[in-house]
Amino acid sequence: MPATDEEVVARVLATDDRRAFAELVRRHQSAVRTLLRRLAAGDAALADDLAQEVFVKAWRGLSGFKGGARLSTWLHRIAWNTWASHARRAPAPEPPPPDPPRPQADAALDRRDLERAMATLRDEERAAIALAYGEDLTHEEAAEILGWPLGTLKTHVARGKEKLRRLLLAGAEVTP
Amino acid sequence: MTETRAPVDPLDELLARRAHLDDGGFTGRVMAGLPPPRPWLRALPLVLGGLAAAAVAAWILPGALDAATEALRAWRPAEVALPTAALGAAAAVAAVVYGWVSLALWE
Repeated sequence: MPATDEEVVARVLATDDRRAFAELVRRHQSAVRTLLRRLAAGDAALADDLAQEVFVKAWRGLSGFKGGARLSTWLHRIAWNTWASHARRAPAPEPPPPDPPRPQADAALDRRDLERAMATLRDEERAAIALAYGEDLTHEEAAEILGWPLGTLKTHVARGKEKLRRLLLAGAEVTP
Repeated sequence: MTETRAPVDPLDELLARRAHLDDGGFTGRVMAGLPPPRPWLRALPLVLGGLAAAAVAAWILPGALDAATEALRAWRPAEVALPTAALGAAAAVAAVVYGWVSLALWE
């Protein structure tokens, strides 16, 4: 049975074990990079740079990780803070207009379509959706990470989803 | 009686889709970007342990300090004072210990 995140964290802290930390990176890289790609509206290079920064911060601050929260939640919080501080430094450029909907291809909507469409959302809507649908995060956890009341998060999620629905599924045969 | 299931929202499905991103060397880049290890911190227990072992040996072995002083007197050149010779010997021992610790921590 593989060691739990908490056990691996304990090993890293006890013996400065870099191999154990690499194991944590491997376990969580996909979720953190996916979150940042959504926040960065599909800019994979930027998202990966920021994700790298997230894990370096995690390495430096691992002794501050409290076992009460899940490691994934803690990493998502660092990712959000890293993104927010990047956005303050370099405000996002005007997003390009999304590609027109492709009615015949609605069944094949993929991650890239979604990321492109997310570029058209307002920052709050994009953040709310990216975190609320982040790996294993509940709406409560997402709201807590963003520092918003739960109701605010839900409002932004609903508005963002409505815009996405119009953009992505305009020509789709399947309607919710 | 047949159960009716709520229709699946394709947007929810798309948002919740958790395509796993391949590592593609990402972990390696993170590990290369970590701050370098602090060997002095890792060497500290070794050095302190070595010093403690030397102190215990000097205390337990009868006349060990006298023997070391005599050896130093015999080996030092006539024009070198005893404290200077002792300092030189200590520096030599420190260099050997440093080399040994560096080898032990070399990754």
